Amino acid sequence: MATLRANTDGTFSRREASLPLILTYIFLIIGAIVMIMPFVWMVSTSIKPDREIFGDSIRWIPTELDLQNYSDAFEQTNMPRLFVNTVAVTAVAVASQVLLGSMAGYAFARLHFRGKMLIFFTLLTTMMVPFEVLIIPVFLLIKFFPLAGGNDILGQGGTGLINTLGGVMFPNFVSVFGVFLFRQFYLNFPKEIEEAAIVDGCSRVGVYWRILIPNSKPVMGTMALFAFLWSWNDFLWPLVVVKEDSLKTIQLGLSVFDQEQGTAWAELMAASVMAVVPVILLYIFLQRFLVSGGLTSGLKG
Amino acid sequence: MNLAVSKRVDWEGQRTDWRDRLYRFYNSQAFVAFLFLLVPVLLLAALKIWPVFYNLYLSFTRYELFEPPRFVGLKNYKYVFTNKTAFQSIINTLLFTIEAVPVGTALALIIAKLLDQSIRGRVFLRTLYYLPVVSSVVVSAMIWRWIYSPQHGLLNYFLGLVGIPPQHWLNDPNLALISLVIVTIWGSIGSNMVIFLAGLQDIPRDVIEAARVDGASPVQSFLRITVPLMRPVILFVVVTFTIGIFRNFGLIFMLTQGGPFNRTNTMVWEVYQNVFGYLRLGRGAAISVVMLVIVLILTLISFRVLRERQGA
Amino acid sequence: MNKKLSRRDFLKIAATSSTATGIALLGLQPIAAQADGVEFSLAMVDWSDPVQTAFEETILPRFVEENPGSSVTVNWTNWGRYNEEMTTAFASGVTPDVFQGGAVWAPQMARRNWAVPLNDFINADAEWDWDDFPAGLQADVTIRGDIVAVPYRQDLRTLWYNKEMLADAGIDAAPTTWDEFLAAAQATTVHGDNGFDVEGYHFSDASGNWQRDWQPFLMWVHMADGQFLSDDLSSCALDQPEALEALEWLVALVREHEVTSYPGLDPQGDLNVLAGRNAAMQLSSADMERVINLYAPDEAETIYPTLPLTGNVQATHSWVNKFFISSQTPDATASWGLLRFMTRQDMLEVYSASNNNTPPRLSLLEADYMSEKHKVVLESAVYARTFPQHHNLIALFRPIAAELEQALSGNKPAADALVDATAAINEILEDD
Repeated sequence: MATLRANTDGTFSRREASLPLILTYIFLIIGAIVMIMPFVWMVSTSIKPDREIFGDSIRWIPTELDLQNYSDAFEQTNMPRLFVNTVAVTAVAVASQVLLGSMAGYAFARLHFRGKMLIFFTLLTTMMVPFEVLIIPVFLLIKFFPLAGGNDILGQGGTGLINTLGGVMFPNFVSVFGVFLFRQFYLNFPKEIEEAAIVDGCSRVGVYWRILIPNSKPVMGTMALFAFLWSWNDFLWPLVVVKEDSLKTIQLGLSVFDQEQGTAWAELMAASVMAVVPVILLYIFLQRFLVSGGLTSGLKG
Repeated sequence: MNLAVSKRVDWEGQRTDWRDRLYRFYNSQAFVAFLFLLVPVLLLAALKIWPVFYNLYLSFTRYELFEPPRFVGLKNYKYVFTNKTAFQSIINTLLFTIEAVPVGTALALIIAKLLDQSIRGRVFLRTLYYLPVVSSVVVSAMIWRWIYSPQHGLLNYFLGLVGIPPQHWLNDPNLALISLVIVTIWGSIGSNMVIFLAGLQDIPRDVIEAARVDGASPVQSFLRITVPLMRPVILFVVVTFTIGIFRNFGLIFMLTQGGPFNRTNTMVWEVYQNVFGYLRLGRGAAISVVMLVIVLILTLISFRVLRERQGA
Repeated sequence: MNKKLSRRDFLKIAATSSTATGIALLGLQPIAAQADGVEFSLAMVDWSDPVQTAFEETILPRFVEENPGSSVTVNWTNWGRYNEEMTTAFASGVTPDVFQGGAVWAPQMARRNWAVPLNDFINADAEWDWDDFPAGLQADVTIRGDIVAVPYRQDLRTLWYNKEMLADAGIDAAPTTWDEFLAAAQATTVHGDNGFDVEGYHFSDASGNWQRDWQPFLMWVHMADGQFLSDDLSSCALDQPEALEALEWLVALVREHEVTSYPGLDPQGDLNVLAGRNAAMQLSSADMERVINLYAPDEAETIYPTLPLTGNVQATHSWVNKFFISSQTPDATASWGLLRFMTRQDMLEVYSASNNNTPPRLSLLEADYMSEKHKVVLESAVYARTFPQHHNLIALFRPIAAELEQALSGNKPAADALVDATAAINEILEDD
């Protein structure tokens, strides 16, 4: 199939050369320029001195490089702490969503038990419920979390997980999307290998651990990427839960430059560059999983 | 399966009845499922299911956190549908959806289709298109606020080149929502494109090839073959995109705070205002419930359409 | 895909991420467990570089010096989300011991019992000297007899103008009445190809902040001798003729006389519109002087404050910012120690000087940093009015903010806008 496709497309482009192809390129390249222009502008602003930022004409490449903005941004936001917090929250979210998602996905894909469809479809429905809608109850849940932050077993008396990184992490431990993604992947996984293993005396947990996990790389990559994105970029929830500067994540930290007296654009853009670079790197590293990760496989059946 | 068990027991050479039974229980589908589902299902129940019902309960009460909720009947819902600001937030959210979803979906589909050929540099282009998705709402909002800046912004500079006077993008009541829509489309093309790309891989090449041989232009084959075959994927994208817009808090928070004229005051912003600005949790819950109902209705309609199509 | 992910890899990844988490979590602990003495947390919203420096290099070290063993953790935030932030803080039960609050916070804090009443502390502390605070400011933080906060700054606004621009336009004296003001504004306004090159009067910035129009409007209402709420706080008074006069005047400035743009011009980064010579007059606080000395020193000899204008009366508005002690503080006496320290004369001087704030203590009027210009600002305190003491002011502002936009951009007649705003505000008042 793949060779055939390359072949037909190849002859197509060679023979009719081209007008459509050239138009395609023009369209795609203009589109791509529009898509990345804001980022280029961000970087450009971040390395400019103020007078060029507010100058009369637009300069993409500053006449003098001003990296002062970066060191200012680094100091004023307490960037190391923001990074440590964000990395902690994100690492837990990624690890937990991959693990719990694959476990639940395996159960739904391979095991038979009473109430399976009921549970699965109930969960699937909740995928349509935006988290923002549930912010009040989840906030109360975190506040009245038993035995945390001075709370007793009934969740009274203390502050629960409010103002802790645990509170920031809690809603990110598991995602319905992840469960769905792993289930889809395992459904398409050839059954024969598992059956052979069972015949060889392998337990079900063993099958999951020794056969499915090692073969789940693409779906794990996809899940890890999404979990990373969600957690790293999360804003509303940390905004509500975190009360102290020392616990802020990087997204919250950016707003230091947004003050009544005006916005420190250069520093803000420098801090934004620092916030976005790790994600872009990770994306470039993991992007090959995205299309192959079976994102839409669920729609087929 | 029995074979496996007995084999294992033979191999271990200990045929004690209780161990055999214990292993059988341990290896039963129900037990493994219980083991694997316990944590995820409990978490999801606590984070996704219980809150829906608790929200529903709160929406019938007046709750200001420091005294227990007091039952007030339908008063909060009456507020949502009669208070000008609150009701406008529903309208604004729907307007936002109508302005963003069709254009955003169409653009993403066209770009996906164009990128779904073996042309040089397509992986690179795909990466560029996806970059805005990777960037956070906060960063995107900050960049765009800077681009929209009336006097020093990039956009007004470009308009100036073609002789259009500078606009107050985020402060002009007629432009504010559109400005947010532009950022939203820009930020979502990448993720929708990826879903479309995956969907396009499932379309048999020979169908399109056959159409081409029959003399259909690329545009014709796109409209007559690709789009109909992609209908399920398109619906999926429309639903998820809509939900994405409903939950779009960061953009409003960073760019317009609901203004000017409450034109960008969407439901999620109204919830936030009521809950954390005025401590009216009951009202916030009522708006949340309305929002959820709208989302569910839209989802149901989409899937109904999808099923009819598949049946036909 | 190509290479299989081995279990070893999986374990490696899991181990790495959990170690990273562990380290990260451990890294977070020391902050809380630094000192043996009293640990304070302080929420500050009036952020600027020099204020932060003053706190970190002078005020807090001095406090620790005088109170050995204690430590203070400061959280800096911004006004844009401060109200929501403190609401969630109290809702979640994690509040700073001492926190800054805005001009409208005292009634709300008192109503919800979120602030420790300070009467006993203040009465027992003659040295700290409550009588040094002007009576108007004392009244502003006293709710039904309880002193719930201590002012640290008066955000007192008056008319600032560019002497040179006015002189170039043939106007030699600062305006004192609305008519003189209009003449000066008309003389200095310059229209360019794309709208305004220079606004004769700068009304508000084009920022997304919903309070931007409401704050200057309020000053015009005061000048017209109108008020926001009725004296008994039971209804909105914006539908009265005085408030209407103020709004119609503003609408005329925007639409008829075209001496100010709406939405207004943008500041250029650190340069506000007056400092950047994009406007000739603006109602502003002493912050104007700070910005000009810092970022536009060339303009220091051209931009001056003058006493508030006279409409029906000579008036302006004062936003009184204050420190509160949270009702959740474990040790109110100790927190008072911090609060009294920050607001005693010498420390308040350090703080006020760092940001050129107008100080709330009478004894600081002759402080070294008080320039001639600043004294003019301070003189206008006599004409200043403060907010009515309603506990729900923030919610009440929202309808008027939206209606102002409607009226100023010409979508709605001023009278209708005020009637609608009044109705919406009354609805909130009744619901309370």
